[in-house]
Amino acid sequence: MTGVSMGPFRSLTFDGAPAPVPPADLDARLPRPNSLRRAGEGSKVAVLVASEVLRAAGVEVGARTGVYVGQQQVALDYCAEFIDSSYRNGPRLASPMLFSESVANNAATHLSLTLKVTGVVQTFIGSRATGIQALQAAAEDLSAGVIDSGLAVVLSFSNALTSDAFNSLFRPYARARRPEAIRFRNGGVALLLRRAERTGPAPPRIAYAGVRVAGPDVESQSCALRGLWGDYRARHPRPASLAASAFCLARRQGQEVLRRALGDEAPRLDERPGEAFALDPVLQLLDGEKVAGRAVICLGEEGSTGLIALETR
Amino acid sequence: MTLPSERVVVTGLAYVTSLGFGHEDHEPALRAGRVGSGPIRRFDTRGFRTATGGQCDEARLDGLLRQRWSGAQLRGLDVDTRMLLWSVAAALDDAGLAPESLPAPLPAVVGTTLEGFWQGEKWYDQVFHGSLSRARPARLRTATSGGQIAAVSRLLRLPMEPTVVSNACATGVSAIGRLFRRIAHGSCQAGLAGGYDTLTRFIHLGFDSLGALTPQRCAPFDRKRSGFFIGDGAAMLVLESLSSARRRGARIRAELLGYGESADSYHATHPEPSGIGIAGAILQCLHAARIDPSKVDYVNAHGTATPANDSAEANGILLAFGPGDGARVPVSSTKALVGHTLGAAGAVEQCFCILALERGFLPPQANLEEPDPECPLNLVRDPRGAPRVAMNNAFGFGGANGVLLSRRWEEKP
Repeated sequence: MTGVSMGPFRSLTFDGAPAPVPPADLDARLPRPNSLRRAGEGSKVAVLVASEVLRAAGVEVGARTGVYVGQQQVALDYCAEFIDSSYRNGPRLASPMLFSESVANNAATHLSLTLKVTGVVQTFIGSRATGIQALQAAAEDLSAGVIDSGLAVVLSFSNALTSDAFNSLFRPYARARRPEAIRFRNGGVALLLRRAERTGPAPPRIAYAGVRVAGPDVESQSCALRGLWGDYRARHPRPASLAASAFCLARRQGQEVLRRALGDEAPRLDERPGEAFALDPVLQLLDGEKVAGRAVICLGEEGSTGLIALETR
Repeated sequence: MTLPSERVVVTGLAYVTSLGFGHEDHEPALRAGRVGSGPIRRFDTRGFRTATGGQCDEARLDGLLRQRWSGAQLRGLDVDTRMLLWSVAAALDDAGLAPESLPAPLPAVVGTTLEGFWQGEKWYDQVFHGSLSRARPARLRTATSGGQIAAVSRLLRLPMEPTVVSNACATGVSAIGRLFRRIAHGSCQAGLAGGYDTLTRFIHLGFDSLGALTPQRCAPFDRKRSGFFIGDGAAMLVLESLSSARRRGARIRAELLGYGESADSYHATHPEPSGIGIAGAILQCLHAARIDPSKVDYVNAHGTATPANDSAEANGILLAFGPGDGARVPVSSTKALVGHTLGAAGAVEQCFCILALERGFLPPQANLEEPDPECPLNLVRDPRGAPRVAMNNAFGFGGANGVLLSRRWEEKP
């Protein structure tokens, strides 16, 4: 994996509570002709950041370009609208357009259609660690020679429905009775990965990427993190910079997981307000792009535990 | 592509559909062309164009799970999670792998298109018809696939390295293909791969709105075909490097030879009609496996029985295999029997390929009355045959194409 370099990246984020507001000029910034007018915001942001990265890198897309999308919360607006319309108007009047926009690989589909990608196009879902998994998959396919360049796109799109769901599910939030307590940061980031020999001087390289799950309790998660940390440290020296993020409503548990797993080496959790799910660990990783040896830990509310590390030479 | 360093074999598998559990239930059903669909009981179908689906035997599933876990341990798990739990546990048993004996977390590449939508839509239904304050938040505990695989990991006391793939209806094949490549290139020695999805109101509504569900029989490649029905499904396979399987004396079920994938880049829901994207995935798979099309003895087609999908697939097969082998190779779609199991389809159908290789028969094309001349394939009419090499096609929304090739295990131990 150390043979895989990170090329340019582009990100776009916006926040709010309970529904983050996208920039007003989102449509205007999309490539022309704009075939995404009826697409969800997640797909639009995915295409925007991916197009900008490809343009910056001067990469021609083809059958040897792979697209790897990591996401936890996307397309929920269309899901909700689709279900709503079926209840309000009856199943026979439900719009198939809404359905096709609500499937999980919808953003990947729009990337493939807009960028004319005919090779590997995959979507990873289900946890805060899916951004790490998208990078990991791109790196694996590069190492195996399946692709020549890999575009990893990480997305997070929450809405009022997500806010209501977390309000219902997580007791600390419900007890707080402050609907504004949870702020979502929505957005997307795209990174281009290539084999090291194809890139310029001293780009950051992916040194390690791994995700584990054993259960959502403190003991299981700290055991998983100890395993990841041990695996990483067996191959690499201690990183110059170590950062971590946990689901925003489980930071106390997250800090305890870090303390039990890493002892004195445990970093302080990211205190930025709000939650960007899969986007959080990748944004943290990019924060440290210029730091020699950066590692980022990601703790998910469902028990996923991820570690991704960069090395800079 | 760099040359694979390891041969990859299947050492365990388990699957459930509306036809039952594993090879013993499915072999007679596939041979006889028994269909696993019926009236949907799981949700109110009034107002839908179609009201037929394939539901698994939940009582039997629960009975199997209760042999291992208490009711309290299983409480709150939805049908998808229970099917996933059973198939993971049974595949590990089939492979002779005890979770406590594994030295490190087990890689698990799992595919789903719906993840916990079963729970999500019930919660949403409560919100819509009642109020947020009255909705039961417990519904959302396993509403993400991350939560579902975490529940499986916890109940099995099995630490995992999970990856959840969602590539529309190519998901199951994508999941197996990803783990295949990891093992073939030496990233890991063994792991679990497969897929799962259930019939929910949301997904039935979605395909109903597209006009893809048939009010009649699901008849792939038939001139009068009119679509499919949605079925429950979960299938998990234990993949292992040949050296690892030999080291521990495992029973080898089949060898995975290759995986190919491509994207049509054509339309959000329709396949590219000439089949060029499909042919690309097939050729990539054959190339990776270093197998000539003349050596392929059976193709388990994606075959959704929609007019556009079947003709595009037929074109893709003919384009990749050439007119001679394309018209020769026996083809059938088992979706006629178990329906479209979505994220599970590619994995369930991989198990059907292994069933055909192990038991020496060709699954006949069920419900075929008048073959469509637009699909000039050699559709299986007679189960007699002893395939050695089987291809498994899976295609999905967004033009996602995935193809796997597997071979009967014949080498003496």
